Amino acid sequence: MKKLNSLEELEKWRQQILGSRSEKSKKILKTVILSSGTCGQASGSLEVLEAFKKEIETRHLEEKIELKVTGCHGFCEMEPNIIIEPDKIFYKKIKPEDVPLIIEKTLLDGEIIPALVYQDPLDGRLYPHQQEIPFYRRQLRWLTEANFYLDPTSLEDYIAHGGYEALARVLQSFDPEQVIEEITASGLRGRGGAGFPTGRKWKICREAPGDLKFIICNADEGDPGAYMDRSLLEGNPHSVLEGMIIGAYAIGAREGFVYVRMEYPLAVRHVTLAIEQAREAGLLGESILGTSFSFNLHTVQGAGAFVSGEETSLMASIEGRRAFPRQRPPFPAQSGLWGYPTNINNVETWVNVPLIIKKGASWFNQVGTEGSKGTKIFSLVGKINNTGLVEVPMGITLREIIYEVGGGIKGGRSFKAVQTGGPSGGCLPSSLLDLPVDYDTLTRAGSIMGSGGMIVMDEATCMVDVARYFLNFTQEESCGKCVPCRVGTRQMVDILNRIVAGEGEEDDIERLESLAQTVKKASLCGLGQTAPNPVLTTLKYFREEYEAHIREKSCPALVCKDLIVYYIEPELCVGCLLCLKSCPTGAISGERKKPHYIDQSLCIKCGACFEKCPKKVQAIKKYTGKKRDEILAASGANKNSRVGL
Amino acid sequence: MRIKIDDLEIEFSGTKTILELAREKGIYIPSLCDHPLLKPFGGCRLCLVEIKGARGYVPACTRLAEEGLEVITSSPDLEEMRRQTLELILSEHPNACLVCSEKENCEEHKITIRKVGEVTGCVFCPKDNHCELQQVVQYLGIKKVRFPSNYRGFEVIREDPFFNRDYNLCILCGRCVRICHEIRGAGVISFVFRGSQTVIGTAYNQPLLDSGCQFCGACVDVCPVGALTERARRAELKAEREVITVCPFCSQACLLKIKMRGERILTSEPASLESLGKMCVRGRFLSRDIVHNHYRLLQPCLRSDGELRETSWDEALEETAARLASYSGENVALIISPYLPLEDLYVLTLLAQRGLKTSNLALSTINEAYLILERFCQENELSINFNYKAEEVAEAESIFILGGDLTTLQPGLWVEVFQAISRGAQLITLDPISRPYDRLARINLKILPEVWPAVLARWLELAAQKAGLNEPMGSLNRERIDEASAFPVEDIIPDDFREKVEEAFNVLAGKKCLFLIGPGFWPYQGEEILPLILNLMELLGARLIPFGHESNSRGAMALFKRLGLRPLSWLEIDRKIATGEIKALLCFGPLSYLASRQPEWLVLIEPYRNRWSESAQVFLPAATVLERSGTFVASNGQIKRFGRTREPLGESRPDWWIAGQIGGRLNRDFPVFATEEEILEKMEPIFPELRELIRADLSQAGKPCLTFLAEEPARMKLIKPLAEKRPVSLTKKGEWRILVEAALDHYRSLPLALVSRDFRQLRLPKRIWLHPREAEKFQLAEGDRVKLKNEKLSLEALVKVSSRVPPGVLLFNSDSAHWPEYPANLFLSSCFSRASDGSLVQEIITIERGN
Repeated sequence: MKKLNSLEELEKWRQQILGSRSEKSKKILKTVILSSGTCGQASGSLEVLEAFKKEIETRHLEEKIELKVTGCHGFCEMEPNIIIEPDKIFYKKIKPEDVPLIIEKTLLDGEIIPALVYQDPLDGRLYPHQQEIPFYRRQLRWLTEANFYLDPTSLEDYIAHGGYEALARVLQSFDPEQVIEEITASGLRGRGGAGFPTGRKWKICREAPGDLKFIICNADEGDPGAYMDRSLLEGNPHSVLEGMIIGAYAIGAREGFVYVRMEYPLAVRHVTLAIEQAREAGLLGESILGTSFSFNLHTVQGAGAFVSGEETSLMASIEGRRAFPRQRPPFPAQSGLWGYPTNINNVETWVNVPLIIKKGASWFNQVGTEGSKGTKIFSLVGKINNTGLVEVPMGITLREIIYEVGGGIKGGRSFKAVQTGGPSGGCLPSSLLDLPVDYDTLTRAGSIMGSGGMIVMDEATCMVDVARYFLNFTQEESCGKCVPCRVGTRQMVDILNRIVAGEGEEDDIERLESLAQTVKKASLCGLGQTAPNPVLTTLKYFREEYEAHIREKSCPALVCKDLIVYYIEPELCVGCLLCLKSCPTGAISGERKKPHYIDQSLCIKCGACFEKCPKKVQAIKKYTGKKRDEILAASGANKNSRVGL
Repeated sequence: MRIKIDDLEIEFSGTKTILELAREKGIYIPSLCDHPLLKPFGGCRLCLVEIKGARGYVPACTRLAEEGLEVITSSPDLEEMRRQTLELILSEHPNACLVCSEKENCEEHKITIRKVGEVTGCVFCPKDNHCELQQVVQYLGIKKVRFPSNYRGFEVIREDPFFNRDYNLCILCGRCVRICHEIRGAGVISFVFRGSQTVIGTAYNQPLLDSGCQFCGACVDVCPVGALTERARRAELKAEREVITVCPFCSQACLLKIKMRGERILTSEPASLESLGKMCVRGRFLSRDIVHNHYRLLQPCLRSDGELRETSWDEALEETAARLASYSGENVALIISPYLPLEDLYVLTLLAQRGLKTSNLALSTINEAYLILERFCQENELSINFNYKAEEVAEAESIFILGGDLTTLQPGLWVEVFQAISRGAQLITLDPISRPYDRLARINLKILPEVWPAVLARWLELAAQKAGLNEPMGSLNRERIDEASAFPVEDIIPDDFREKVEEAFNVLAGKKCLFLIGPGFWPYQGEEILPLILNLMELLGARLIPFGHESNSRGAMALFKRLGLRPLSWLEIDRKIATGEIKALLCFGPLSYLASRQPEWLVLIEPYRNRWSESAQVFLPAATVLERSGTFVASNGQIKRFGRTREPLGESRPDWWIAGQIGGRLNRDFPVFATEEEILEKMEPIFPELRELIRADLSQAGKPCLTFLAEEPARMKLIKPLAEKRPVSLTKKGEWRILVEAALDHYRSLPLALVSRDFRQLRLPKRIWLHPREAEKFQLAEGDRVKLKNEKLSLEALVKVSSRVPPGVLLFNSDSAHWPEYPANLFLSSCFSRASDGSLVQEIITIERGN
């Protein structure tokens, strides 16, 4: 890789790359693009890749078929998936055995294979082309679109698709202050969760006294179920770098850090590689592109804690200390790494920067609501048909995301709640489905946007259990420094554990609410301050579920193991022995063609029998509350025995 | 600037937190994790306050006061939050006593209730009635904890010496971690794990002994609850009174608070914030052991029929005086210890001049950097200012340490040096042995002493170049500089060190530089090194602070100087004993550790029996410094006077009294003193600095002392080094190299490890240290016995295996000289000799496994 010593050389190189590609593309018949981020690899994309390579070699099709490995395409439910250019044919859930057929039929003969095409679960229609698939159609993939065609390990690819144009424009025609003005005018707010106006943060840091300043990319992404940043880091690392270089220029920073959680090895590899490539090309280091601007970037791996996503503890971790947050003020923009002014932004925030510079602030802020501009990437997961990463304009409603993009609730069930913002967020009920998604509306409703986690729940989800799950997470991840978080969340978890075990007391809700207030108000950092949110929102919107658990010892969603019982209805049972064979504790007894019977004292509520009972029969039911008590009494089992969680 | 706290308007200036200001004005805001010596933590959340106009709650301990701030320290919301927070703390801290109905009765009857294994409530806790958690609970009026208890169920950690760690009582305020990191620079303990599993621990849960802990006790002193408790005090009853005194173990002279019950010393704690965090294991945990131990001899003894027989003072003194009178002045010698306070030293000089009429006066210690420097200055008509203020250390920009482990020899000074390093001062060390501060140093020159002169000579060359000494500087000229650096630098510094040596010089030069010189610099190349160090100091404008000397070395030298006395060196005394010129030795002990022989008549004045007491003719029991009042001159020049902590045990008496008694019997005109005050008054003409101290109220001895020793103005010149080039190689490669670690873990002749089992686990002078590679070669493990041999003598010793010693080196400890029935120093003396050209030669040593 040669070093670029001027903006002109960058342009020249770009034209060279484009030229040689257009030459090459004249011969290429089709391009197969394989979605291969961590999620793709986990579903088997690497085996599919090997199959393609082998087949192409065997058939001597190297000149005609181009094989491209990119980052995650976002439709995780359908992975491993490929997109075949130039027609944008989208094939889902590919297995290595499908490859020969794909090559023969689609690549060589141009025919579509219906079995591999996406079928909409709601209307049953087939959508062979990627841009028509409802999941994609309703999205506005400003930031994630490049994952469709970029090889994340190739700087040339990034350049060929307009990479570092924004940087060149900044170095050519913008003062640092002008960059800040542009970002401010765009209305960009921090995508890491707090939603602080990015331009204003940059300004504070730039105006802080001193010559030595740092910028940091917070790629610690700790929320369970959230992986938006991962797909950006794995699929388009140079866009993060470009954003940071522009930011460093605007703020006046000479050194920067990308703090990636070590549980993202692919992201670490790709970012490290991208930094190396950028440095060799003269896009990082001394005299970037021949100008007087110098900036160095380093990667630091996280040490395995959720709390190190909090900015002050992240800085402590970079300094080599334990990831304890510290009191603010002073804020990092005034005093951060080693006491110097430091600007921290989330991955997604940085990726928005080159886009804003390229297209302009007024283009950017046409999309979104009054207070929240641009797009947001959400990880849409849970009881939904189309799980994956979705990028939508701010202001879209929850209903549109869940039903139009997400394809509705899995298994035809009904929507119960959506959890946004990860462990710091809250659960919103169906009455709020028409809420437009933006920072302020979600906060007003009692939740937060957070980094973009969106977990959809159906009627078979127990909201008390959900609150317990999240609180357990934050309690385990609490850094241990301050009393309200370390001890307060522990006490709250203990209360919730009692409630789901059927030992809830009348005062428990009051205790939870009172503790929640102390933990919220007295905790030192965001982790503690927001840890009670799942409990508070579920208490607000699903209070009757708590009351049922406590007063009636019943779990309406039939989830909490100590509050339910599995029962074989004698009239419905056909005596097929299937459940009997599946029971791990031998609790089921019975003969062929005679009704089977569950010995409640041996049943551990694993649900294996429930799964095994044929769909046409459905003889096994789950009961809770009074009916459960009756069944247990009849069987002679102790209704207070616990199987645990 | 102005700030409002509740209804009070406060004027303030400077950088202060709201909590600090509140404390100054007597406004109470509860807090458990804050401490005046430490940076604010913000962990306990008890000090949360409201600020008018700002949302949320802010900890008063972290928030800096600003102009116009209006602070509300109490409101219904704040109170409720505080109660809940405190109850949360109590939910994990055994609090049975809080709700116990027998509380009042318990006070009356719980005399020995604390001899229990587990603390389940306040009455069982050694910290009862001193506990800061109790105070806050009382202030908030908590009578009931509304949360279920989560007793964490840790095993009490008893595996380390001196103190227990019961983390069931720990409230995770972090003070122990912070003082260990921020003030001591040791970083032995930290927060480990997270969530509700968070606890304080060492790396990999190793014992403190294996984690670099030196048992300074700072963590114990700063713990607000009973999680860290001194084992020796666990079952004790409460102290009845406290006495402030000065620590006798080294010249840092930290102020101690001795807790007493009747005449029994319970323990010694830091007297105030001035010494909190700066003390060491000796002053903190072993003060009691020098007074109460079974090595003390408490009766005067005379030898008859080969046995030491107890007798009365009269008989012993008569016999002593009679015998002394039979000798003439040249046949008698008086040995004085720098452990003795000024008062005793003065009377002893009178004894030498007017009683014994001898000029054979010597100090028992010789290898102290300070004494050597002071003597050198006197001999060469130079003068160095040794007084220093703590700020001078803290503001140093480059620091050079040579001659011993600063953290064990004079930890109080180390703490001050660490402050400088925390502020960015760069450290250079010159030491073959690994030291705890090596990880903080910019460059560690890990080379043997024979190469030290070459390093220092190279630095001197560079310093001369930098000083641009081309033109004559007053009475100096180029030739003198050339001579000053006339050592062969080419062939004895290994190649890879050449750049490092130059880099180290560049670190030291051109900045506020501090030289810290310890006792270890002298024994091998001392004569060559001394002029180099002094010349460097002069050319670099560095401040020189010697460390690791005994409590009153400065007082002793000041006294001699002002009286115009020139004491002999111990070696001269030793020689005179060998030739028979000195027949009688009066030793106000200890007898120097390099003593190789005994004169025909030996009088020992010491608190303890030791190697020599078995063969001395007379033994007179001296009282320790805790059993009388006295005055020390600390290493920084401060003159510290202390009162008596307890009555002298048994028949022991202060050394000055014994000296006076002997003197009085030898000379009718010998002055009579009844108290220490009378001696000080007699000394006033030569020590005018004492004027205020004499009249001071000794119960106020804890107040900061601002009286410094008066010094002559500094007077330096470049020194001509030894003319001949001495060969610098002591041993050939591949043979054992003997090094001796300078130690100050004794009081007079008593090694502290002898009387404290806990201390033995930390530092046992009987051990020989060697590198794991060497241990493997000989298949030796920790604690194994080995036999060392040279041509003349052999020695059996125990082995300690450690990689802090370089391969090929055998490291002895200088305190082993005082260890009874362990003739290490005899063996060591037999290992070294001077060749005809004056170079130091070390014999070849062999090692074999012992039984």
